[in-house]
Parts: sequence; structure tokens; C-alpha cells
Amino acid sequence: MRPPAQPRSSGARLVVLVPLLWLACFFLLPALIVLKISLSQPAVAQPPYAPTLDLAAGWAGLKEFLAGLSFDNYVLLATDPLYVGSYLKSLKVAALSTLALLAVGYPLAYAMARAPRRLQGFLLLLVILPFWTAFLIRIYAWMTILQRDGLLNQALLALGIIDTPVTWLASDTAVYIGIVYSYLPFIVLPIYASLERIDPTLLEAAADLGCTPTQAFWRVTVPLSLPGVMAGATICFIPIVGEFVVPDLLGSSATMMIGQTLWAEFFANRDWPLAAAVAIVMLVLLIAPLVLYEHLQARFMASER
Amino acid sequence: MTEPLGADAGAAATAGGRPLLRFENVTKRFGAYTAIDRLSIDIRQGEMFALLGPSGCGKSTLLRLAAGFERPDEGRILLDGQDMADTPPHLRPINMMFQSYALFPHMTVAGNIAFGLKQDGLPRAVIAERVAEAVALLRLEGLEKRRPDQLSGGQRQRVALARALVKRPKVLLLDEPLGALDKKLRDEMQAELAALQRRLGATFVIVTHDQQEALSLADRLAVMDRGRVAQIGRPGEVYERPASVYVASFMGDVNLLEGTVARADAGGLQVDCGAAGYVRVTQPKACEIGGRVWIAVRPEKLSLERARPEDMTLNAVRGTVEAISYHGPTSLVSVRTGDGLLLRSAAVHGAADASTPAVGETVWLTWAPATGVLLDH
Amino acid sequence: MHKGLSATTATALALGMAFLYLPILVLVVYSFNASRLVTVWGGWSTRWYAALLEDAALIEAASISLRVAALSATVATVLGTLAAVALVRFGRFRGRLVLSALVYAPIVMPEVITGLSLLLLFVAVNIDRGFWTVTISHTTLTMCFVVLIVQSRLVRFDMSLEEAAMDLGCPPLRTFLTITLPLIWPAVASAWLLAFTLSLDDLVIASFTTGPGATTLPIRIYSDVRLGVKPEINAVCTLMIATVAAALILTSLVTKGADARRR
Repeated sequence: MRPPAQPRSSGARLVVLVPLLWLACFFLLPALIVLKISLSQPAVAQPPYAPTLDLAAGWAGLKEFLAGLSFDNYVLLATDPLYVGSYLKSLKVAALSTLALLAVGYPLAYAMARAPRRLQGFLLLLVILPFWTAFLIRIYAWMTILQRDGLLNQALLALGIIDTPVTWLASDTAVYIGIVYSYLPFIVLPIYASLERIDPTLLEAAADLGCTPTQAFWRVTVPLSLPGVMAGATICFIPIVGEFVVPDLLGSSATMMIGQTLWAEFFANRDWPLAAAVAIVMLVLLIAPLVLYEHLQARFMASER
Repeated sequence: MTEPLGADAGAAATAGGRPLLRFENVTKRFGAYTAIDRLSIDIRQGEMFALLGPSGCGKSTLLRLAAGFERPDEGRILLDGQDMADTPPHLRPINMMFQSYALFPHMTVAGNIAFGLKQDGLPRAVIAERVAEAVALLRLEGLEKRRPDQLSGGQRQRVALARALVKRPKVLLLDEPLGALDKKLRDEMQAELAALQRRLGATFVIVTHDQQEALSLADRLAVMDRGRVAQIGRPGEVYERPASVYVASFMGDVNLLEGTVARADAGGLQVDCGAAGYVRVTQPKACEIGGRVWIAVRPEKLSLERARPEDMTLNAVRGTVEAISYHGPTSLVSVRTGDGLLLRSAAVHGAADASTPAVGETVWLTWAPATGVLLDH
Repeated sequence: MHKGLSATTATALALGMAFLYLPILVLVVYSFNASRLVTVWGGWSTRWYAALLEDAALIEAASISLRVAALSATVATVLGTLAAVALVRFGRFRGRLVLSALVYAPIVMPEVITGLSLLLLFVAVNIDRGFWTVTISHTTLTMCFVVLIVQSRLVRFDMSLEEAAMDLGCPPLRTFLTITLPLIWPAVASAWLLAFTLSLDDLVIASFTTGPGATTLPIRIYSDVRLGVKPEINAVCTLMIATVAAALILTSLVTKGADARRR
């Protein structure tokens, strides 16, 4: 397609400016404030951190403000095993649950793409629908199922698979179940989209050229669905790292994920600067997978051309 | 319209027509790609002008420049002497019939046709009257309440035409107007479109990649090549007297003989074509003796003979029939000459059809010197 | 490939759908449980729904959530549609990269960070936290999802329709309102609905940005749920699911109706 015309009129400029300014005010600016406050110290005051920038004091005020900033919070994060452990735990949970999501989501997406055409729209709707019910509700539903006298234990006892009730809640298993459950649509949709785009004649061509269905799957279908896999994995991995609700309701309190740590620093300890530093470090950690994703995607696009 | 109806009626009417739409040294780039390259064309009042070329030659871009959807990087586009640079599409007295028709799917046929008139703020009664007029003109009676997806391809095409014409534009742009129709319908609509244009005396600019369509529809046409005009002229001129090898081969099947100018005399030029011998061309074109040239001859100008003809003024080349492909009214006979050149002759199937040779037979291809065209190497 | 449903495909689909829907089904069924013990079935009853009607705090929270959701979804739909139009229609303009980065970042950004940063902004500029701060925060998050939905519809939109309208004398803004908007409005409507439910669902961002007197429904549910499973909560959740389901059905009926009329 030809590139459309440049915005010329003032009306067109407004179309760009209004959302741009909104996001600059309520997304970009707050991120900068977080950065600033992460360099401050907690104080028993309102707001509960120091120094605060006093614009009325002019240059001197700015100087004093800059002098008051420090990297103490970051030093603490890097040296205290509590925080390091929390970050590592988050990354581990995110990595393993992304793998689990792929293991569950790929077959589901593949089955959807192989279903009869007229069913596919309906199946797609079925996968999206749970996403419209509240996250909190879906996690709460699992609390009912996983608790000590919950349905899962009742079922397993009745089937004679276990003799005594298993403690599911407050465990890592419960966290993985909860995450896979609530993020499943996010991984199924992009994979399905890339599978559905594959021209069926490609598989016929592969068969014609001597591929068994299994070989065709691994040599044609899987490589062509990789963009969807990468997109899905990225979309899931990043928010899972900062996940709060699932580990808080389903997990144990032994090792907290970093989202919980941030929440605790903020709400329980009222150490806003440290919470801000936790957030900044989390962001930095998350930039790496995003850059990797962009890179892989660019390479894939280039190879497709 | 009082002009006489005849083969050249349109051309006669437009011969003295003043330039209405003028492209002056227009250049349009998309990034590093130059779509239109310093192009100048004058389109005259009341003519049917065709922009012809293969896909990617810039013909559609030229149309979009005229409509105002693209802005030229250099040069000017003048309508009636007025520079259109600062006039946005919705204020230009030019209307376009889109290749996809671009009928509004959420409006009826009548709604689509009335849309442009409503934008002009015309009174309701006037709109109704002009819509009815356009509906009658394009034989859309009874379809006014339908939605575009309830129409056949041909009906959609006519609605799109009606919608653009009802605004009485100074220039009507048509982007591959018949491209989406099947062969039979296309031939019908071709005639209808030409009749309509003549009846309205309007200026039509039509973009097409089909040289047959351009030849039969246009008063004048421009053959485009990579953003430039390769030749402008009346259909007959462009077909019979192509200005370059590109135009000759784009405008239909052509035989090309390569040679060196050997002699020039009052009767024309003698060109040494190697194994094909000396070929005579009667084109009064200044040529250097010893220069390399092409001679272009259309297959229908070549006759097949079993023996060398008596008439020594005719050009004659000997060869062996290699293939015959049947095309209904004609057959295309491919003849391989001594030096490996493949020439094609279109033989019309007459009543006495004994003369069609068989594959492997030795034949003579002959043609009159006046039918060949000399082209620069 | 798309001829019939093979046994393996059917099994995979059945397992997947069971995994997705059983927990929700369990929740709904147990909301009608007569027993106070959540896991013991005591027969059908609507007593927990009746109990909800007397819980004034819960009703207040629900009303706040609904108002926040309706308002923020509406503003987000307008802002998000504008941004989608800019990204799809204006080609390469100055600020395009910034705008597209700012649109995608909040979608992948962990909610705790978004919530924390918005709170720190409100504190820094000294705004009293409450209804309006939650609404602004939800607008910011949900407008990005609106952009995604409207953008994907606009990309498929046949540009020549807009060009045809302008060619026929329609100025750009009127073209958008009379041609583009009527044709993409099912997408705009579902974007609004998504924004509405995302706002209705959000716990984390609301927890950070709310203030006294503006406890939303999820915050309320969360504080109860932390203490364990309660039948009243099952009833609330069922009502929320029912609300969203009703809205979904309504939207699809309305947009289907529009499609049918077009046909």
C-alpha cells in the first residue's frame, strides 16, 4: 500500500495530540516520577519520602534536591538476599509458567486451527470469553477447587488416587495452575492466528514431496507458527514477572514474587522510595525479553521477505 | 450533441480542444522509489484519454495525483489553468471511479449516488432529480433501494459510474473501470462507456493495462513506462507507428528484426539484417548509414507464401514453419529463419484455406516496406 | 485440513474448554449452595444473593465500580479510537514512534508498576485520591486495548471508501463520521465493552490509585477473599459474570442486527 497523506490540518494534529498528551501525562510522566522517587529516602511525612522538589525555591531548591538523591535503595536491592531471591523467584515462575502455557496452549490452538472452518469462530469465542470475567474471580474459583476440602481433593479421594487430602493451596503448584489458567487466552490467540494463516496447500505440498504428517508438522507448521509463539510467550512472560494477585491468593508466603514484594513495601512498610526502586529494577529486567522479541521478530520478517 | 457519428467523431471534436487537465513536469516518489518521473501530459476538454501501461508503471499514481490523494514532489497539476496543489480532494471538481468501486456498503444504491450531491448542499428536490437522471442514464431503475452487496458485478460498476458522473465533474477519472468484469460484459460495457462519454461530451481519463481496451476506447492514449510517458498519440498512430521497441511490444505482438542501415534512397532505407537479407523500410526517418536499428513488423502484416513472390518491392524472408497456434479467427504461424530468428505471422482463416502450411514446411514471409517501422537500437 | 473433527482434535478441544470453563461453572453452581460450608453441597438456594442485598458496603462498591467503568471506558474509547486513526491513517508523522510505544507499553507493563507510578504522580501533583484518580488510571490502561481492537479493524478497512467520499466532496472529518465510523462501529463497541470489563475487573491499579470513600468492587472482594472462601463472594462473582455475559450478548446482538440490516 501507498503511505497515506501526511496530517495537514489542525484537526488531524488534534487526533494525534490528544491521546499522545494523555499518555505522556499519565504514563510517561509517572514513570519518570517513579525513577526520581526511587532515588529518594523514606520519611515520616506527607508525602512519605524526602527530598521533595520545591520549585518555589528556584535554583537553590533544585541543587538541594539533587544533593539529597542517592542510590541507597538500589544498593539495598542488590545486596539483600530477600530482594534478590524475590526477583529470581519471579523470573523462574514466569519462565516455567510460560513453558507450561506453551505446552497447554499450542495443542489447543492447533486443535482449533484444525477444527472445521464453521466451528472455528465459535471456538475462538469460547477461548476469549473467560478473559471477559474478572481475573480476581477466576483465581477465586481456583481457591474453591484447590482448598483442603475442595473439589480437587474430594475427586482424587473418591477416585482412590490419594488417601489423605493434599495441600494444594499456598504452594507453587497452585500458582502455576492459576497463572496458566488466567493467561491461557493470551497464548492461544496469537498462536492460533499464526496457525490459521498457514496455507493448507503448503502441507499438501510437503506431503507431495514425501513428508510424513509428523515431519510436515515439525518442518512446516511449527516454523511458520513461530511468530505467534514468540508473540504469545512475550505477552505472557512480562506481566507474569510482575504478577501479584495469583501468588498472593494461591501461593505460599515463603518466597514472595517481586510484585508481592513491591506491594508489601508500599502498603505494609510504607517505604515508597524502595517500592519505586523495586519497580525500576523490574522494568530494566523486562526490557531484555522485549528487545530479544523485537530482534527475533525483525529477523523473522526479514527471512520471510 | 450534433457532431456526426463516425469512427473519428470523438477525435474530430477534440482535435482543437483546449488543455483541461495538465501535468507539468510532475515527479512523485515513495521513499527511494520514483513512481512518476518528470512527466508532462495535456488532457483536452471533451476527450477520452487512456493511460496505458503494465502494472507498476505509475498510471494509477497519476490518477491519484489528479484526484488529490497524493501530492506531487515536484511539478504542477493544472485544472483549467488553476494549480491544484493546495486543493484537497474533496474540493476538486474531479471525480473518480475506483477500481474496487468503493461503494459505501452501509448505503443503498440511491444513497451512494446521492452522497456527492449532498456534500454540495444541493436542495433535496434537485438531488432527487439528478439521482433519477443518473439512474436512468445507467439503467439502474428498480435497484435504487438495494445495498451494494445485493448487486451483480456489472450493476456495481454502473452504480460506481453513476455516483461519479452525477456530480458533473470537469474530469472523470476511471481506474481500471472494466477490470473486474468478465470478458463478455467487459466488451458490452466498453461500447456503453464510449457512447456515454460521447453523449455527455465529458472528459474521461481511463487507466488500463489492457491495450485492446485502450485502443478501442480512447481518442488519445499515453503509453507509460516506469513513471514516464513512452508515447502519446491517437490509437492508430501508437499501434501503427510505435516510437520505441517498448511501445511496439507493449501494444501487441510484434516481430523485431535487428540490422544495420546499409543504404538510403528516395524510396526509403535498406537495412542489412544478416541472414534474413536486405530489408526495405519506407519510413522517412533520418538515419545514419551503418547505424544499428530495429525493424518492427506486426504479425498480421506478414504474408505466408510457398514460393518467393514475383514482386521484388516486397520484403521476403525464407524459413521453416516451427509451430502453428490456433486462435479462432486467425492462426499464428511461427517461422524459424536461417539465422535462428523466430518470426510470427497471423494468417486469417479465409474461405479458401488451402494455403495454411504444415509444420516443417519451408515458406517465405513477405511484407510491404511501408508496414515496417524503424526503431532506434 | 478443515473437513471433519478428528478424535484427537476433539479431545484436545474438549480438555482445553473443560479447563477453561469448569472452574467458572463450579463457582456459579456453588453460589446457589444452601450450605455455609463452601465445599459441602446443601441443596439449591438463593440465600447468598438475598444476603448481598443487605450488604450496603458491597452495593456501594459495586455502584462505584460500575460508574468508574462506564466513564473510563467511554473516555478510553474516544482517546483510543483517535490514537488508532492516527497510527493507521497518518503514515509516518512526527511522534508516531513515541505514540505507538506509549500505546503498547501499558499493555505489557506489570500492573503493580502502572499502579505505583500513577499513584506517585497523583501524590506529586497533590490530587486527592478517589473516584477521579481511579477513573483516570483505568482510562489510561484501557485506552491502549481500545487502540489494539480499533487499529486491527482500521487496517482491514478499505481505504478507497474514504477516498471515494472525499472525492465526492466530503471533508475529512465528515468522512470519518459518515463513512468510517458507521462501518467500524462494531469494533468500537466491542472495544468499549472490553474497556468496561477491564475496568470492572481491575484490582491492582485501583488499589494503588483509590482513596477514602472510593472502594471498588474488586478491592472489596479481595479483602474478603484473603480471609478465605465465602459463599457470598460466589454470589457476587456470579453476578459479575452475568453482567458481563449480558453485555456481551447485547453487543453481539446489536452489531449482528446492524450487519443484518446492511445485508
